[in-house]
Amino acid sequence: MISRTEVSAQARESRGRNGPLVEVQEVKKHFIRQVSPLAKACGKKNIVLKAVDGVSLKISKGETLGLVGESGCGKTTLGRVILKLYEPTDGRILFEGEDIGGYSATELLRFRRKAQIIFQNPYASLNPRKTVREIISVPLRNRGVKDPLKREEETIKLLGEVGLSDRYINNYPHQFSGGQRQRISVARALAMQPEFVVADEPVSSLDVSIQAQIINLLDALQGRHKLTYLFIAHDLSVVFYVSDRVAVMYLGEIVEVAETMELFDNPLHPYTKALLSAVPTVEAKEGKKRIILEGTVPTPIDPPRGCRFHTRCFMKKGKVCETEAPRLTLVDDDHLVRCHLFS
Amino acid sequence: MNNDYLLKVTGLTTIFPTRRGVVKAVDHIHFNVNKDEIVGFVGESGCGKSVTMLSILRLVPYPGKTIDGEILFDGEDLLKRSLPDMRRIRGKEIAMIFQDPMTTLNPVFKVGEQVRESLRIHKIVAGVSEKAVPWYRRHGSGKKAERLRVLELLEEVGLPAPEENYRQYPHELSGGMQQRALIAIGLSCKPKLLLADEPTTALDVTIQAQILDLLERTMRGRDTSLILVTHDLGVASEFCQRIIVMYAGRIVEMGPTVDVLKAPKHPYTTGLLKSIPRITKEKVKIKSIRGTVPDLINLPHKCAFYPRCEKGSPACEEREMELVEVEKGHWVRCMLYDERTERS
Amino acid sequence: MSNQVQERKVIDLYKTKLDILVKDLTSFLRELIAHRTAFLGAMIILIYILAALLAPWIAPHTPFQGRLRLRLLPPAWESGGSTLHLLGCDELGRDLLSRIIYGARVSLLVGVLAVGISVFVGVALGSIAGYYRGWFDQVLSRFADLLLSFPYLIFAIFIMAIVGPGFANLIFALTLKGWVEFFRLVRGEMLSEKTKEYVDAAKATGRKDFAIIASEILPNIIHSVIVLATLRMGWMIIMEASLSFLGLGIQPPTPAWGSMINAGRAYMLSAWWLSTLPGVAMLALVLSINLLGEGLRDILDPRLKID
Repeated sequence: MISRTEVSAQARESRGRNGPLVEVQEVKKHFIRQVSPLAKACGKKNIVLKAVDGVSLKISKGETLGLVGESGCGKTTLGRVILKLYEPTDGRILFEGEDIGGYSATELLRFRRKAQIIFQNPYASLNPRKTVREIISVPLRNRGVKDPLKREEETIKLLGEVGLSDRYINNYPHQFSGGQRQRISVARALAMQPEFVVADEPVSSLDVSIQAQIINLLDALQGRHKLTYLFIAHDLSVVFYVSDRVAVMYLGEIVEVAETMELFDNPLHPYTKALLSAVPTVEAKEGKKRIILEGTVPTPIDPPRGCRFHTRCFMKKGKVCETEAPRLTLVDDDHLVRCHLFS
Repeated sequence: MNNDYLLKVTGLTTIFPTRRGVVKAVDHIHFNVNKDEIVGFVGESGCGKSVTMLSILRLVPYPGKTIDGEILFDGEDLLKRSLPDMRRIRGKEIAMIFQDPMTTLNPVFKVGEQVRESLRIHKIVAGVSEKAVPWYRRHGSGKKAERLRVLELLEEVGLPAPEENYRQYPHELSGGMQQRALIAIGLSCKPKLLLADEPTTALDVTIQAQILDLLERTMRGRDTSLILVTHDLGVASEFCQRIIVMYAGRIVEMGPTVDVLKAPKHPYTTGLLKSIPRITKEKVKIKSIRGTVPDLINLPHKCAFYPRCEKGSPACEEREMELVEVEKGHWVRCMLYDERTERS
Repeated sequence: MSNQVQERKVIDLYKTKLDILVKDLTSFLRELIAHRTAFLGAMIILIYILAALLAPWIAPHTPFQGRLRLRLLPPAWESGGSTLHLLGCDELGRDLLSRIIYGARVSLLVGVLAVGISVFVGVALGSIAGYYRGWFDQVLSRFADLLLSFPYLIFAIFIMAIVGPGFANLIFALTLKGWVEFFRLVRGEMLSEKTKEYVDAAKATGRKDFAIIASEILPNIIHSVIVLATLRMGWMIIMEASLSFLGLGIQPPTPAWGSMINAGRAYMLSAWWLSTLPGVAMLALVLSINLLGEGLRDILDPRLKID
């Protein structure tokens, strides 16, 4: 059993020592759907979907930052923006202190080597027309392994690392189960020898017993390759298990960030509290008071004024929640909240 | 002859013939559902829980078919009933809520119309008995009463603006609201048995909490039983009184939720519980069940779980085990609890 | 490791890759044989291709010159016919069978070329338009819509009237409108494939755009293209025949089924075989192509479905 306090102490040390490995500064990502010129003439405006609206984060080397939120909160978009798969509308991403926005093609390739992604959907994230060998050779080639023999060796080694026998090397994705496909995705990400991996809901589509296998695999690989993870998920129990720190997102904003244990022991933001109480657990506490949130998630196209959560909040402070947007404030040692109750 | 049972299933077997062989999706299962009870069917994908539900309503898609067994509902065997009878039962006596509301609701009809369709088909209208009202007499009382009943239902399931929601199309509602509409359809004819196949899997956690809360509240007020199919043990733990664990088409453990989850008897149940990450003070390492779900076409072993079982022994290969009642109401299918081995 | 061992390993690697290719091909062929109508179609097409290739050797007589004495000779099974000319002779005494065999060359060549060029142009433009979107896509799509608003035959006639008859002009006229269908197909599929995660994965590993289009996405789209190309080939053959029938396509004395049918019009009641037999030949070919195309659609598509 790993003691939580040990891990957090290590992580805190690492955070203090060097700068963060990844730094997200006030990043915004808006998707604009243009309305036709005719509609514009009639007064209709472009539809702007504010998927990510001002997010700042720091991820230290070696740590696992969990990012939770429900659908529409922008966590998947944020993950892709961090890897430059989407261009941010505003703000910057710093990797190892450098602004990745200004990268040239060669610098970008170098960045891609260090930062990789594992996707959620094991069925869509592998090219159905390519064999496993081809799927893993491509990143190997991009990494600079020119000799096909060397690539073959590396591929077999990678497959071994993720627990797949090399006799599968000639097979196509549709011949594998969901869990095996995820392993192939992990092998592909590892092929680039990254330092930083964004895991976008890597276990959400898998069966419970397979989830455990993949989680344990990711854990082992982190230790072996000294990886830093951004673990995006909507399943709180999984996030609790894998993360050192957790950030909670709602409607494009971070509403709370804290070390894992601290967040689960002492959630401050009302949304976090509701989220935690909504998770069904096997240890059914009799008479557990479950917080049921009213209403549905507002649309990111037109988020509510003031605090975005105020339409569903059960702990409103007052009128200020409806008019003024709260800022992310430091409450405790390393515990940030975006709520008027604490500003 | 125990007449307390609402549903008594014996020896149910449903197969799917495929090019490679016959898939035994459901293999000789026996279980009961009492009146006014919430039973959870738990298992991973492919274990046969959804097919069981479809078998009860005889909605198994071609080429699958139920080839054996008896489903006693209210004293009569559903498998022997005529199709017109089944049509009358579906929706009215036994209703089903499916997993993904986006694909279950018809996108080209208004939500209110779809709820009303159920009432109309079964000729149930508040205040009016089940006497058929011919279509040319429908103006006035029949239609209006139906509409009122629909609005009542929409409000009961917690839709915020029933009048407006009635007129809306499914895509105009959020996932949670769509699911509520589906529940409204399910409850509209006051069925005795409600089958819910993973009703919250496609929804966010907070919405899932709302929907499950709704289901619990509505169940409490009625004389309806609910079979909740889910892969989430947490959900089953918090909402079901009894739990049935399925693996590879068979029931491996069954009993009161508290008993099964606190003191699981079957190695699969134990394995499943150990592989779920929990939110606890100390990080407990999760342990995965080795191997993968077997190919249902040829199950080479007597016990389908044997290749993955930590407690397997050669005895497991000798013969197939039946469900054995180890404690009151708690049944297991496992060689570990075989009386014969214990005695020897 | 020593050079020899290394070489052998490389050879082994390529052998495995070849093996996979062969395995895919054989499984495809096996499925093709299992699909009865597609197989039938394929066999008949094969016969036509062989006939067209071996025309100079298997045609009993020359198609270009006839003996006026044998003018309008009936086919062998009719009274007055002769086994020397199995299908009879046309209005200039030329052996019909030989003309039909040589006509197959023209038809097949037109079909393959017209479809081939259309596919090439359509796939290239469609991929770029679908992947990059923007003004290129807008302009091309509108242009394609414009072209589509003309009925194919009338459009082809119009073009031929401007550029004049002849083989090359015929191909030109057919491809001018032919690429549009492939453009739309590829563009549509590209739009939907682009959103799939394996494309993002390829981007994340640093692949360049062109590589992504060519080597990641196109293999997933190509099966629809193949099916459409096969079906359109029959269409092109009919178009060629129609244009030749109207005198706009292949000019005499080159044997083309369309012009043969046209020439036989005057003799429909007396020497029916002049028009009918080339028509039957065309019917058989186009039908076979359609059977093969539809069979391919069955074989190629569901294979991609996840079990």
